[in-house]
Amino acid sequence: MTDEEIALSIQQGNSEALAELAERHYGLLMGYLYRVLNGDRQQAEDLVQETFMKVAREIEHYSYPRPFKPWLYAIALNLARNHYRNGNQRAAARNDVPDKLPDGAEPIETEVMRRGEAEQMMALLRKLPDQQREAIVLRYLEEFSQAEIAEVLNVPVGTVKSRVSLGLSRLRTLMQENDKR
Amino acid sequence: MKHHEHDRLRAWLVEDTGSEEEADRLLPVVERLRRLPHPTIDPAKRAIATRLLIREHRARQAEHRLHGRPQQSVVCIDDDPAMLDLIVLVLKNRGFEVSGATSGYAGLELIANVRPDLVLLDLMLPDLDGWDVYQRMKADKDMRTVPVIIVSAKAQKIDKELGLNIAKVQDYVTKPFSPTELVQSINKVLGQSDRASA
Repeated sequence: MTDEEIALSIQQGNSEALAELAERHYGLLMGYLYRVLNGDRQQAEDLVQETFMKVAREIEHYSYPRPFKPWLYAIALNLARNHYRNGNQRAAARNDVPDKLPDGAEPIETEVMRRGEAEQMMALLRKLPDQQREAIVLRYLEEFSQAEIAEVLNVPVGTVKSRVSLGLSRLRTLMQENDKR
Repeated sequence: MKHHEHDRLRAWLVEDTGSEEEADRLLPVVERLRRLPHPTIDPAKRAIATRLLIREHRARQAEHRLHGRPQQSVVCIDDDPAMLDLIVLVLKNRGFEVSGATSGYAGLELIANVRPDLVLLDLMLPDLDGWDVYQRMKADKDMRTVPVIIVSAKAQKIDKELGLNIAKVQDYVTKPFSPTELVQSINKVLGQSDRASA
């Protein structure tokens, strides 16, 4: 079943189908919120739950057969933006880098090195304007198409392209400055 | 990095930047970005969260069965009475509670009285410009959180860009539009709005 068909069945009263949507998207959405919230893991966990609660309450506003994923991420992003608008964003702690690194177990030296690199990268991402960081994370970490990002951010595709390009150029400059130190 | 992954990222960069040279310049940035680890979720926590979701949805359904689906209210401000009647008819048929005004000042008064869930706003009004109405809403502590969809015949790209990116309205529907297009936009905005879950 597609996400859209599952959402439709929830609208028709199949509450249990929410478990399948959570199974498919909970972890991915957690990753997305973690990155747009500048590595605040606790806050990302709270907001992913809040997003799904909103889906449970507001599923009737989803219009089948529009793509479900951009609708879901738009809700999450809206909550994240309210969060940073309200000034609730905490400075991410150094130990907020996730415990689990990709590619399974590695020698401890490699893991320490990668942890350091991840912390640096999160710190650089944090320096980007929110709009650029949101677009870059959707594009290159969540692998959304330009059209899907335009739907999530409610902006034209041209704006998506410019936010991604400007953000990556800025990130490149920041990386170069960081590498020189 | 595997060869096909490298090619795939480069193709996205070319699509985003419109330039092969720029794509090659930015490729190392994206490759480093993708080495970021992914946060893990405790499966037990997720299982509890999922049970809460299902319970919430069931409670919501039970509430709807007992009290009927709560009507959401929309205020539509449009100087063309025929257009206003059409929008009112379409939205009432879809279960919304709708009220309308044909001028900016009357519209602001209506919003203050009704406290709607959403405002549909035309840009060309006889007294205040639609953007003036929007500015006054944003300056008012009770109205500033009400989501606004611009419904206008002003189809110039600059108006839409201004509306969505500078003024930050929730959506922009260009006349002429189909009833489905309008209702989809309303559902999208209400679905994303915090007010909808308040």
